Amino acid sequence: MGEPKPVTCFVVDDDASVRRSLSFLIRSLGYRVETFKDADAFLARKPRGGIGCIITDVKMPGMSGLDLQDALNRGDIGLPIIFITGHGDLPMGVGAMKKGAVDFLAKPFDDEELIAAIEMALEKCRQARQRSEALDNASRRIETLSPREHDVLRHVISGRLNKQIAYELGIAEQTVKIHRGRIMKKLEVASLADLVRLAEKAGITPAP
Amino acid sequence: MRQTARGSDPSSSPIQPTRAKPGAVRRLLALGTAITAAGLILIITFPALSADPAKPRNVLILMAGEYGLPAYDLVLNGMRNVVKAGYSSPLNWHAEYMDTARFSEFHEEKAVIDFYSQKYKALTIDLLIAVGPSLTPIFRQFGDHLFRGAPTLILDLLPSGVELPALFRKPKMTGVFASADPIGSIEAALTLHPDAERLVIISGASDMDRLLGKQALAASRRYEQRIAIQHFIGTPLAEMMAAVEALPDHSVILLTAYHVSATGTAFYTREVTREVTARANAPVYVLFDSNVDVGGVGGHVISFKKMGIEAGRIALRILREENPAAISPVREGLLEYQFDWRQLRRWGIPEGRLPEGSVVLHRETTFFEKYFWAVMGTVAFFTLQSALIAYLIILNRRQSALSVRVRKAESRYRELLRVDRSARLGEMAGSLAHELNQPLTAILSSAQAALRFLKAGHTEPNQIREILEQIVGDDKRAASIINGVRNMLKKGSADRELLDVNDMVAEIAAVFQGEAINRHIRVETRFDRSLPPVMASKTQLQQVLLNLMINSAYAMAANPVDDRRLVLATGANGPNVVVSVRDVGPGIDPAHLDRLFEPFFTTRSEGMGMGLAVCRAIVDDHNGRIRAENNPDRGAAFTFELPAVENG
Repeated sequence: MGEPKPVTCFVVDDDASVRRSLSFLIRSLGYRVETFKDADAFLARKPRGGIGCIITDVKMPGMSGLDLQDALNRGDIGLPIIFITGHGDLPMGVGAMKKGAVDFLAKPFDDEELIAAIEMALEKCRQARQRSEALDNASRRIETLSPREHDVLRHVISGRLNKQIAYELGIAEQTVKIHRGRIMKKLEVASLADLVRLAEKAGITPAP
Repeated sequence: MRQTARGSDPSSSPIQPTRAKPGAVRRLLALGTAITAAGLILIITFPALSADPAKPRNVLILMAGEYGLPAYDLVLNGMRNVVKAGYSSPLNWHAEYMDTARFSEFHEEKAVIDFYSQKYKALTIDLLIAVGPSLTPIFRQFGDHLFRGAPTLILDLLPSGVELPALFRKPKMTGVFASADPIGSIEAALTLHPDAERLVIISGASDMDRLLGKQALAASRRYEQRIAIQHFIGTPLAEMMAAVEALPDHSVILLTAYHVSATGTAFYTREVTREVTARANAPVYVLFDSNVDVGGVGGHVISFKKMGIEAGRIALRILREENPAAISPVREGLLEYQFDWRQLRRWGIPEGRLPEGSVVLHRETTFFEKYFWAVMGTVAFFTLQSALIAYLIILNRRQSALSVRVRKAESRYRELLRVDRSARLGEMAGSLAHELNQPLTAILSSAQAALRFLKAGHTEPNQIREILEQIVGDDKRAASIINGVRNMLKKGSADRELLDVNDMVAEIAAVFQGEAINRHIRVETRFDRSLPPVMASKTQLQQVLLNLMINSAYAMAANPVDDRRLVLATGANGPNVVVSVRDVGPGIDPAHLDRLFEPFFTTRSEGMGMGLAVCRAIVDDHNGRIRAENNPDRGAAFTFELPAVENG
């Protein structure tokens, strides 16, 4: 087991008792806890980075748990959400899961259920963090390409042959080959497949 | 006094011969005796002459019959009563019983009268009253000379149909004349005995007896077609008696007069009647009132009493110096239908059959008749008392029935409130479950957290205490919600207590919290902290608030989720405590404002329409008022006021 990463669980619930008892439980797991009485308070906190998850009640005065989920999906707070609800509203739960919720727990829930959900959420969070790191990496490397190399890359991932690219760009086929070699080197990829995957990660759109 | 005029006592024997000396010689002898006997001057009234300067006037009553004749008692009594009542000056009454009537073969009445005339020669007779029978012819013939032409009043029986003017036209004379009415009595007998088949006519052997008997027989001829006629006129007494004891069924008897038997023995008709009625097996009808009360049923009879009264009236006029010749003789109104009630009973004759104007004698008055007013009074008293008692009983019953009804209505009302409360809670069942779920969730999580800490060896006392305190708090919270719900559901929740209105509102707001969250309603409370307490049922007031809050929640269902606000406010209005529930819904249709609190009035499809009716009933019950109005900006406000407890 490596060095424990800073893990924080964010509890959003209008009920003070629930907030406090959840914070006890989460602390007993060895994680940090922050509690908020409503979604607005949490959003104002703007948590960034780090591994963690959000545990929120579905029904709250003002912004509901689902509203919070929508807000998070729109924004850049990449924290997985665990819903807890006193209503056990199944259709609502299905909707929440489709939108990426980790779990949907009916109150009262057993600690094992919550722990399992938290672990799953944290794992999901970690994966997301890794993906975003990889994305950061690819983006950084793509920024090293020259404009011409960038153009050539967009044609390459669109699946065109060197001859076609040369024709499109109005340059010699030999020149295209040289650009490809440099791109592969700069982006540290070995195959065309890797190149395509990286470009996709970095959000490079193929040339039309 | 030398001798009493007559010693016979009618009551000592049913039929007492009045004289038992038949024969002409004996009759002469008897005449002497009679004269001697009758010569006894009976001074009925003897006022003190010396004391009165006015000379007493002399009245002589001359009677053809004998002393003791029942008819005379009736006549003389009736007459004397009238005279006494109407004439105050002194009168000397003289009475002479000629006792000639019974002697059929003695025809010297004139001599007897002359004898009396001589006897009273020394006196001025101011009024001569001659009482028959059979004196009329003598006076008609000699009246002017008798008693020196004294004013004369004659009482006599005449055969019916005799014309009076022809009979009577003498000066200084007038009279009262009655005729027996055998037809009337026969008619009456046949009317009272519709099934009569035989009429038996009885009379004695004297002239008068025979005369009346023959009159009756003649009268009965008209009924020959209907009934058999049988007569005993002058028949020996024993034979007649034997016959009347064994008459065929459906016989009636008419006993006319019986003064003398076939053997010459003198009788009183009255006593003969008594004996005949006692022994006969048929009802006996008579012709004279003197025979009615001794066993005769009755008949259309000559009333001697009436004759006496009429005679008394005429006597008064004569004593007041009226000329007797100017006074019309009385012939009418001297008969009447008389019946003996006891005999009617004996023969089973209903009174309804009696002729109109009948006099019924000896009617046995029943206890009721005798003490009519006392009975009526008593009856009235008891009736009133009974009515009063009945009234009181009814009142009592009604009251107890009423109180039963009141109790029933009260319990129904409570039941209605309870049903309403459970309906409200039912509407909120989901949110209530949620409200209860929160502390339960918290308790479970806290407890499990504590277990994990312990398992991991983290046993810092502060940490564990903090968790346990949290658990205790959450448990209490859960308990209070359950209590609140149970209070709303339990039956006997009408108990009044001193109540802090703010606490009461806060409590029910907590119960409503879950529902509010469910419906995205923000509940605000605005409490006036200086309010006096009220005396009220907490449960019922919370029921009112719950109803109002649920109504408001429904009202705001169409509002956007971020625009649903409910304000619970308390305040004071004079001596009253005011609680209001305001929403930001569409408000109340003004057309509905009036009917809002009526039972079964609802604008919601799923409601019963009882909520606001229940609210008003509860507030009324607390001597308060509830009203609904629209807010100036938007939404509706429901406000109720309760009287505060003074010096609370």
